[in-house]
Amino acid sequence: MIITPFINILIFIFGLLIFLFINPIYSVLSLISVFILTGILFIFYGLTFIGLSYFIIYVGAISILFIFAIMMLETDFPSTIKYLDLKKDIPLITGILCILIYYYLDLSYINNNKNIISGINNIYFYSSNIKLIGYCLYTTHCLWLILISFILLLAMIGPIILCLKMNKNY
Amino acid sequence: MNSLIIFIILTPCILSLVLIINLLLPINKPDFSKLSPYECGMDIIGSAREKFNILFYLVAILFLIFDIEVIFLFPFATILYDISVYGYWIVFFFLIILTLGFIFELSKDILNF
Amino acid sequence: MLLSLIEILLLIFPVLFAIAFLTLTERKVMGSMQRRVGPNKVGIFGILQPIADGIKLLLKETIIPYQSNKLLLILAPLLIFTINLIGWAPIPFSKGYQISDMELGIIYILAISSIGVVGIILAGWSGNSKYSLMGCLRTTAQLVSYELLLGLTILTVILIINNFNINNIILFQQSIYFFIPLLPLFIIIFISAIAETNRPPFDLVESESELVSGAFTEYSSFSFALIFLGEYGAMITMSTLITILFLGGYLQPFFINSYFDSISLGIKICFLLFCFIWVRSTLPRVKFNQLISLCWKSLFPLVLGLFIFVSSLVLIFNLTYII
Repeated sequence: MIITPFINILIFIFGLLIFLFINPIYSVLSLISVFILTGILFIFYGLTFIGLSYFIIYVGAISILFIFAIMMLETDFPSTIKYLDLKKDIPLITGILCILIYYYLDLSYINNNKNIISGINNIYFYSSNIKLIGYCLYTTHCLWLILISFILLLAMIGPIILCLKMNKNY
Repeated sequence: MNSLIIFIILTPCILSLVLIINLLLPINKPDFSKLSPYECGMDIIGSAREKFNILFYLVAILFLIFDIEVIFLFPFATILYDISVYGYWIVFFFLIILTLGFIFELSKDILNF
Repeated sequence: MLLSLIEILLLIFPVLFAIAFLTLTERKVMGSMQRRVGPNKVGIFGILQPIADGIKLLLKETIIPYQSNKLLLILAPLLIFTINLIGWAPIPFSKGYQISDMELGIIYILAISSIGVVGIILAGWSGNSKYSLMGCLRTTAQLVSYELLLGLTILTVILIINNFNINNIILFQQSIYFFIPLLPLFIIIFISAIAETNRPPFDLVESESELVSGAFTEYSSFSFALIFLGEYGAMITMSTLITILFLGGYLQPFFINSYFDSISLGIKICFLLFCFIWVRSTLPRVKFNQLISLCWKSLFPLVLGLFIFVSSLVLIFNLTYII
């Protein structure tokens, strides 16, 4: 896995480019590249199911929503990068510096003894990622699954009611 | 290097080779009327970017939600023997709640274009 | 590394030939169904027609309209066709003969279809004329709805096998091919495959009399060829997926020799492609609201119900396999 630091650097660069491009089309393309590279990164670390689900959900569904939103804009944007102005963009620069500091400082000693899923004691740790996820998600941690179902229910009802109101106005 | 990685890198290379042949080989004589956008033979009226029906966006959002549901059901298909009846009823409950949302969507009859 | 290179080239070039000759097959079979002869001037029975078409398209001028996004216009068809070809990696032509034996082969194929949708949106959007944008929206809504059905149907089949590896799916069909117990799912996945590949009766995107060429109006010469071939390639990929899941992949009903594995896979794929062409010449086109309501109101509740039905049957009769 010699290639993982390069993928990390690429993700960071594309992530910066998302908000530095003025043309929204290129921003969305950088966003899609970030999603694809993150999926590849998960696959390299051995978590194949999570990596592939990144491809299916992020690239296959969320990017479509972003492209639909951008589709309504006019296209006469210059295709350059926005140059950071030191007076106006101090919060942005501070944010980027904080991310870099967090990446290089090892702050993991704070949460030391909290093993949420003790993977190595479970027999499925050695067979595949998807069986381990399935074993924990449906029995030990089933409440998270129920919570997710309620969140998805809420996410379904919201847009339907909004579209009902729009149709009534017409 | 893996066969798969070589495959993923080699395919665009072969195809872009043919594409470059296509861009260089024929005679390119661009003309104003050749390069204008298509409008059934007349000059363009209005800009191309207009509003579109919001139901397209709703279809995309509903797809996202049900796609996430399908992704949560993928591990269930592999581990069904080990979580036999208990896991089955948990997944059943998960599906019932999402089916309630789906019944709501069907009853409002929202997806008629 | 040289061996994998030869392996990959041995996959790519026959697939490209298959896609090219599928165009000819479609024209001749549709001609026979309409009681006429298809193209028969170029080769002996018109065999060299796809090669003639390819060379013609290679020598045509590429027109890049001034209002379109030049970079995307050239890259998007390349992306579509590449992604289509990449989906051939985990598919076995005999036991163990595949480019990459992934543990999650079926999910990989689903992920490839999802990325393909983004490719098609970018291709339609970069054209930047009214017809492109309209066609692009309709394509997306159609592809996205039927891809959901595809995913859920695949999941229901995997409930019996409990494993996502494609070799295991085929080997578990040695006792019975899955289209016999799961016939409703076979019909549903066939309908979704026709809708996923934008074939008639679901071809509103490029409905040849309605939207000119739909999302792909602004393409010419080789970019058009790539999109056109990409559509036929998607047809072959979907047929292969259905064959693997329901028709037994490379297995034969009575075992002759293991050299006949790839031939039997080919025969089953050809049968499904013939059904695709048959459906094209028989059924009229549906309207867009009928298309969306077919998916969301009729087929999707059915597949959800079948999922719960099959999983409860698997539990009651203890049909799972432990791997």
